Formats: sequence, structure tokens, C-alpha cells
Amino acid sequence: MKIIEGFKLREVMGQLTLVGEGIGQIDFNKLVLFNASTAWLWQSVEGKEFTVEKLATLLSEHYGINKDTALNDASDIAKEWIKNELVEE
Amino acid sequence: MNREWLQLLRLLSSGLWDRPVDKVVFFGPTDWNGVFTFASQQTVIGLVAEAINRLPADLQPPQEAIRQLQMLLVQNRQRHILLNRTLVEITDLLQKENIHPVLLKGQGVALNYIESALRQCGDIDLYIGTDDYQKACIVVDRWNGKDENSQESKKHYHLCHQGVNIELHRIAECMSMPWHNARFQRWTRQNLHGDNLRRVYINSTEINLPPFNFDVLYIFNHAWCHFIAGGISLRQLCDWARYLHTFRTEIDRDELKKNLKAFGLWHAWQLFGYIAVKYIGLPKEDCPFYTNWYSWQTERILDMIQKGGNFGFFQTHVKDRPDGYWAGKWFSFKKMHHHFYRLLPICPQNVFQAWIRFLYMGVYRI
Repeated sequence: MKIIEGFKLREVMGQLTLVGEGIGQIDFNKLVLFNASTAWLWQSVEGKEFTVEKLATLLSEHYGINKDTALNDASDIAKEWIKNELVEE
Repeated sequence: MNREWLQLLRLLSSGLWDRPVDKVVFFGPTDWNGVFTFASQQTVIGLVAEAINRLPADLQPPQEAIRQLQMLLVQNRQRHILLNRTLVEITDLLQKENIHPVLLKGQGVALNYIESALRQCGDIDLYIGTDDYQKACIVVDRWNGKDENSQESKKHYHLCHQGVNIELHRIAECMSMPWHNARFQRWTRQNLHGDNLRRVYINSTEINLPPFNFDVLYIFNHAWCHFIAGGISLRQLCDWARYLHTFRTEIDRDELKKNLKAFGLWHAWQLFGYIAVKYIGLPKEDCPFYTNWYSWQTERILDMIQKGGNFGFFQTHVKDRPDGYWAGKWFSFKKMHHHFYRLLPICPQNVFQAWIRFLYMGVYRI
């Protein structure tokens, strides 16, 4: 999967927020707030092709969590991103 | 002063100048709905939200309200992007036809804010001038398609492109008194044509802006005209205050003084100046010709701004204009006279001039 073009991560009132700024996303009208780890993950895969396994590896290596937990978290995150139309498969 | 209004002023001042918020006025329960209503009516929600973020967690509004503010900030940022994109598109289009528009107010003024996206944006005003005006209208109509809702007035041609309101100005502004107006039009031609223009880049496109001494007076005069004609919001004073601060070393005070007196705006400048310093937080030394001689009048002005909001739209005693032509005329007549009556003790000379113009325009349009 890949992040859909036109999103930018910004700090809005002290919270990391995804803002639709590209031509195709100017009408994006959802409030997507990220915590620090999700924001880091997002930035790590920006502009790249990735899989749930890749997300899990990144989480596991960066935060030192075991692979199963990382895979569960990565799977949940990817589902959310797909549901909110932030990434395309 | 109403507590929520005072809180709004403190938040606004903090957001506008990137200063800590005066927390004292937030001790005890806060009616956040009241504060947000004022912020919305005064079109300063972005600056207020920024300042709320500086309050300690226990003084901040509930999370639900914070989420709504975040959503509004995101939407406003998206609106800025859309406006800048449209501005660049129309500027490129006109420049290809050898027409060189000058951006008035709006996105140009937003550049003077600490963060442009915190300024609530409106429309795009482009000064074209009389020579290229007809050609520019044809070019934009070809680009936009003939829009049934487009309108033309003595001052400008208005169109809507993909949700963005655009005004092509034949003249930048029209003043009430003919002798002021004649001078103003000459002054506009001197300043907005030729080599005096400033140039900035928005999305890598060169955009023309008016020279400093024109702009600072024009932004002020625009706010003052709207105030006399019905009302303004605090955002318009914020635009002016940010301009005065940002270009405090570039503004030629002698020239400004000469022009303010020539256009009959000296007293008006001092009235707004006091509000900008006392309530909005503009440093006194950045406000040319600051005086506190008119504190009583300025309290009345602030009260009118509080009650009227953006363009005076929120005055609770004003009902909707009735449908019939003559009923509508009578309604406007009564409404404006009520407004002028309130303004009379504050600035009698300006009210008299505006009244003459109002009557003239009312008869002229019949």
C-alpha cells in the first residue's frame, strides 16, 4: 500500500494532525489526529510502498516491542488508514 | 466589560503577537460558548484557538470543543491553500495577457501574521485599474465560464471560481467626498502603477503588492469605511495592527500624516489606533500618531464592534431586510440612520460625509 498524495502532517493546537493540502485532498474533511508513534510511522513510510509487515518491523525496531504485538498494532493502524482513505492498497 | 468579551480580547492579543495569555481573566468558570461566539463573529477563531493552546490544561475548554477548534483550523488552512492556488492561477492568466494585477488585502495581508493560516481568509481582491479592466473581465470570464452570479459595480467585477470569490477592481476604493475621492484616485494611480509596487512570492509565483505607505492607509481606510457603513470585526483591526508592526520601519510617517489629513482620516486613524494599542496589543511605538485623547469615543466604537461583529451582521436589534423594493429602501434608510445616530458623537464629520453619500447613492440607485 501507499500513502495517498496530498496529505501533510502538521501541529494543530499542539497535536499532530493530518491536513489534506494537495489538489486532490483540499476537500478532505476528517480530523485525523496522530500520537507520536503513529506520526513517526507515517513519516517513515511517506512516499514509499509498504505492507503491514513493514510497518510491524519498523515499530518493533524503533520501539523495541515484540513482533506479535507490533504486527497487531501495525494491522490496526493500517486498517484505520485504509478506512479513512489515507492510503491506497 | 462583559467577561467573555474580555477573555476574547486577551486570547486575541496573545494569538496575534505570540505572547503568553493573561491567565487571570480565566480563573473561575468560563462560558466557552460565549467566547467562541465572539471569536466567530469577529472572524478571529484561528488566533483565539492558538492562544487557547497556551492556557494551562485546567483552564482550557473541554476536549470536544478543542476538537471543533482543530477542525476549524484545518479547514481554514485548506481554505488558505485553495485561495493561494486560485490567486496564482488568475495572476498567471492575467500576466500572460500583459495585465499586471495588484493584490489588495487578503492573502497579501495574511503574510504579515506570525502564521498566515491563523488569519481567517475571505476573498481575493485584485486591482486592475481602468485601462485594463474590460480586457481583464473578458479574460477571467473565458477562464471561469460566464457565471450568472457574477456582478459588476462601479468599483469592481465580482465572480466566483470553484467556491472562491474574486473581485477585479477597476478602482481600489471610493471615498465619500468628491474632493477626497479625486485626490484618492490620483494617489492610487501613482502608487499602484509603475515601479513602486512590492513583490512577494506565493507558491513560486511573483505577486504584486501595493507600496507600504499606500497599503497601510488603504487597509486602514477599508476598515474605517466598513465601520462607517455598517460595522467591522476585530480581524480587520488585526490586519491593520499586524501591518503597522511588521512594516514599522518602512512606513514613512511624514508622508502618512500628510495623506491622512488630505483624505480627512486623521481623527479616524487616532480612534482606531487607541483600540489597536489598548485592546489588541499593538506596541504603542508602532502606532503612528497614537493618542489616548479619545478614549471615551473608542470605548463606544469597541462596543459597536462587539455587538455588530463582522460587517455589522450580528446586530441583534436589526431584522432581515423585507422583500418589497420600497419596503427594502425604507428598511435600509431606517437602519443606516440608526447606525449614523450612534456614530454621530464619535466622529461627526465622517458621519455627515457618509450620510450625504448614503442619500446620494440611495437616490442614484432608484
